[in-house]
Amino acid sequence: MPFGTGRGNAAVSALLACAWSLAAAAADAPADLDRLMAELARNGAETVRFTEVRTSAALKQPIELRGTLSYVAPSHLEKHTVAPRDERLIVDRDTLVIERPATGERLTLRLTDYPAVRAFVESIRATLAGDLAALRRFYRVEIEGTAAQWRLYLLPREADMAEFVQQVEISGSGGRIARIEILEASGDRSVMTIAKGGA
Amino acid sequence: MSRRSLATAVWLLGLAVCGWVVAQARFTADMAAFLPALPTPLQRLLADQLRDGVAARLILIGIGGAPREELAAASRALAPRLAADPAFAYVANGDASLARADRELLFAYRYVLSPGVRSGSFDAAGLAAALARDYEALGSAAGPLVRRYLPSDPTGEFLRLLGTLEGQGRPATQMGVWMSRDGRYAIALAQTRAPGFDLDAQARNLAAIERAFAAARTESGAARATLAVTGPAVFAVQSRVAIQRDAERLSALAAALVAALLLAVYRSPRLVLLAFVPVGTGVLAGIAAVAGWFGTVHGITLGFGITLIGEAVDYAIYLLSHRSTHETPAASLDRIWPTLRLGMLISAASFCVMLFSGFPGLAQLGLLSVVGLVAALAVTRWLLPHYVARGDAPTGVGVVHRLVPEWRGYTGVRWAVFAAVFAASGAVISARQPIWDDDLGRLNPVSAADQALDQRLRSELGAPDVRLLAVVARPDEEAALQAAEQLGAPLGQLVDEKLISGFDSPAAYLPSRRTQTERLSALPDEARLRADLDEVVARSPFQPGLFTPFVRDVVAARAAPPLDRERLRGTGLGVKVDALLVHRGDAWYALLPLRGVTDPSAVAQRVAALKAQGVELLDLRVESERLLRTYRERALSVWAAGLALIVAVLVVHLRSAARALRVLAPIAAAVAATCACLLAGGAKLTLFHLVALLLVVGVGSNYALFFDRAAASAAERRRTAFSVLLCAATTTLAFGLLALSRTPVLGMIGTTVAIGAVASLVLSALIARPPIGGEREPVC
Repeated sequence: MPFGTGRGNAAVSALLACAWSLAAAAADAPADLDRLMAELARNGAETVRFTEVRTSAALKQPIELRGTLSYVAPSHLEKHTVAPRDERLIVDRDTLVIERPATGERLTLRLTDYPAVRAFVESIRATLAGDLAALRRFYRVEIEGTAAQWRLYLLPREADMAEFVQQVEISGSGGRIARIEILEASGDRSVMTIAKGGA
Repeated sequence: MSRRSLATAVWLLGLAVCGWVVAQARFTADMAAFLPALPTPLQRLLADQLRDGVAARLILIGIGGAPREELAAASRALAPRLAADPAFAYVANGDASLARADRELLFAYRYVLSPGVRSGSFDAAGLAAALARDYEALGSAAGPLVRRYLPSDPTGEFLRLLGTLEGQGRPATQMGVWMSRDGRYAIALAQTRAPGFDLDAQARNLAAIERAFAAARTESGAARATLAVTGPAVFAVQSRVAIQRDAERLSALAAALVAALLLAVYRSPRLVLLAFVPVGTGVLAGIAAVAGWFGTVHGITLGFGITLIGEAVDYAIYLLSHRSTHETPAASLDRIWPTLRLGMLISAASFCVMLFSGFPGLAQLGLLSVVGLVAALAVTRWLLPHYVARGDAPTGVGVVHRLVPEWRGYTGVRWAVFAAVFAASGAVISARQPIWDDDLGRLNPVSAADQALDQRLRSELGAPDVRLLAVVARPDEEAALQAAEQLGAPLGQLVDEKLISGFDSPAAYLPSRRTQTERLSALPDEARLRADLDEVVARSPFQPGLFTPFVRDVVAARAAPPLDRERLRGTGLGVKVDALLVHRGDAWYALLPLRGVTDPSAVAQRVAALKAQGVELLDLRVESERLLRTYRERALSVWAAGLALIVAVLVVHLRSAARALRVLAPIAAAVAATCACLLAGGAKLTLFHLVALLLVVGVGSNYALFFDRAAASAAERRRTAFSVLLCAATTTLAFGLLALSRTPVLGMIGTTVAIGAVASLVLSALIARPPIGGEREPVC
C-alpha cells in the first residue's frame, strides 16, 4: 500500500518534526524553577574538579584555588582544596568539618548552631539536591535564562548572612552546575568554575 | 467601768494596734527564709546567689504552639518591646540586631579584651606574621568572615574573642532567633533589674512580659503562638500566688465548715461567732508580732501560721462545751483553766523553740504561733466568759460519752496498745528508709511540667551544667579580677591535661585595670605603627592603604578610658560579669565555673594546691547536699529541743513523772503513728512535716490532758469527752481540707495534722480517767 505507506511516512515525519520542534522549544523555553529543581534532584553521586578565583579590592592579585568538589545525594558535600593549600571542608547532614592537614587543624561545627554558615553551605548543597524548600529558608530565589542555560540568583533573607554575602549566582545547563559566583558584602567576588566531566 | 467593759476596751485597743501594724507590714515569699543560716562564707555565697544572684533575675521565655515561622516572627516582635522596657536590664532572643550591641562592644574594646595583644604582636615582625595568616585565611572556607574585619582588625583580635566567647555552647538559631532544636519553641531571655526576691516587682515584670507578648502576637500575626515563662523569679511569684490562693480559699472553706459543724452542735450563731473570737484575735496579734519584729511577713508564715493557731479554736470549744447550768461561765472556765493553760504552754513551748532555730522563716512561724496562742488563750480567759451565758453542754454529749472507754483496771491493756502502736510504727519507719526527702524541689509548688520546661529551655540555651567552680575572694574588685587572671595559667594547665574541657572567668569579659593597661602599652603609637605597617604592606599581597581603619582604631584604643562594669551594663557581657564577679559583705568573689570535668577528684586535688592563693573549689553538688544535711540536722535538733521542753513543762506542772509519762505516751504514740502513716503512704519527711508534727503534739497534748483530768462528776467527764471529740473533728476537718491543696507545703501540713489529730484522739481516749468517786450518773 504505497499510498498508505506514503501517507504513513508523511505522518511519521510530521510527528518527528513536531517532536523535534517540541524538544527544541523545551531547550529554548524560559527556565522554570520547579522543573530545574526536579532536574537537579536527579544528581546522584559525583566528583568534579573546580577552579575558584577570588578577586578582592584588598589584594594586589586575585587568589586562585583549585581542587575537587564531591557530592553524594542528598546531604553529603565535600570541597577539597588542593592548591594553594590543602584544605578539606566536609558537610554531612548537620555537621561541618574543616580540616587543614598542614597545621593539623580540625574544626567541627553543628550547622544549626551557625545559621550564616549553614546558609552558605545550603546555597550549594540544596541546589545540588534540588531542594527548593531548603533554599527558600535562607534565600529569595530567582531564576533567569532557559532550561539549557539557566542562572539562579540566591539573595540572603537573614541579616546575619547578608552581612557577609550579597548574592550567590549559580549557573548551569540542564541538571549540571557550571559556575558559582559569590558576591560578598565587602565587594569581593569569588567565582568557582566547575570542569565538565569527572575528576 | 465594769470588768466586761474593761476587758472589751482592752481587747478592742489591742485589735486596733495589731491591725495598724499589720496594715504596715510587707509580705514576701522568699523560700530561702526557710533555709538555715549557713556556716561557711561559700555556702552563704551560694545561698545568696540562689536568692539574689544574676540567675535569680533571669526569666526564660518560651514561645510555642505554632509553626516555626510564626514563632520566629513572634519572638522578633516580642524582644524589642521588652528591651525598650526599663524594667529589663538585658533581653536576648538570638536576633542579630539585639546581639549587635554585644558585638560592637567586643569590637570596640578588642585591644583591652584580647589576650592576643602583647608586646611584639604589633611591631613589624608581628604585623608581617598577621598579614601572612590573613592572606592564607582569605583563600580558605573562612574567607568571607576574615575579609569582613580585615581592614580594621588585621591581627584578628575580634575573631579571636568571638571564637573564645562563643565556643562555649550556644543556642541553636533558626530563622534568625534562638529556637529549640526541634523547632517547637522560640526562646528568649530577659534579665530583670529588680532582684529575684522582690516578688512585687517580679509580678509586675511577668505582667509586662504577658502584655508585650499579646501585642507581639497581634503584630506578627502569630495568632496560635502561646507563651511560657520560667525561671526562679517566675516560680517564686507563681508559688506566692498559689500559696496565697490555696491558703485563702481553703482557710475560708475550712472556717465555713467548722462554723457549720459548731452551729449544728451549739445551735447558736452567737456562740459560733464567739468561738472564732480567740482564734481571730490570735491570728491578728501573731501577724502583728511578726511584722513588728521582722519587718516583713513571709507568705508561708501567713498561710501556715494561721493554720498552726487553728488550735486556738479549740480553746473556745473547751470553754463552751464545759459550761454548766449550775455555774457561771467564769466558774466553768476556772475548772478547766489549769488544763487549758498547760495545753497552751506545751504548744507554746514547742513553737518557742523555732524562734531560736536559725531558720528565719521558722522563727517567724514560732513567733506568730506563740504570740497567737497566748493572745487567743487570754481572750478565752478574760473576754469570752463575759459574753457567754450559762448553759449546758450541747445535746449529743451522751452518745459521745459511750464512745469513750473507761479502762478501769485495764492498765496493762492500755500500755500494750501503746507498745503495739510503737512497734508497728517503728517497723514501718525502719522499712521506709531513707525517710527524709532530700529534694528541695519537691517543696516547689511549681508543677513538674513547668519545671521540666525550665530545664528544657535552659539546656537549649546551652547553659552549661556546672558542678565545680573555682572561687577566689579579694577585698576589692580589681584584686579579684587580678586573682581570676592569675588562675588562668593553672586552670589552662588542667585544660591541657584534659581534666576539664574549659573554664569561664570574669576577667575574660572584664580584664583587670592592670591587664588593660599592659595590653594598651603593647600597642605602638601612631607614627611607629604607620611606619611599620607601610613597610610590611609593601612586601605583602595586600593593597596599600587597606589598613587605614586599623591605624585609626589602635590610636582610639590607646586614648579610650578603661573598660569598666558601667560600660558593660545592659549587654550579655555585663550579665556574665555580674554572674561571675560577686560583691558580698567586705569581699569580692571571682567565680570560675569549670566545664566538662572528667575527673572531679583530680581537679579537686589540683585546685587544693592553690589554697595558699586563697582559691577554693566549690562543688555545687556536695555543697547542696551538705546544705540539706545542715538544714535537716537543724530541724531535728529544733524538734528534739521542743520535745524536751514539752516534757519539762509537763513534769513541772503535773509534779509527777508517772503522770507526765501517762500524758506523753498517747502523744508520742500518735506522732509515731502519724509518721508511719505518712511514710506508708509513700511520702518522705521534710521540715514542714516536722513542724506539722509539732502542731500534732500541741493539739494531742490538749486531748491527753483533758482526758487525764480527774473529772469531778460523770457529767463533767461527758462534757470533756464531747469537747475533745468536737476539737478533733474541727481540726481534722480543717486540715483534711488543707491536705487537698496543690501547694506541696500546705498539702504536707494538712495531711500530717489531719492524720495526727485522729491518732491523738483515739490514743488519748485510752488514758481517760473515770470520774472521781466513780459514781454513775444516768445519761441525760
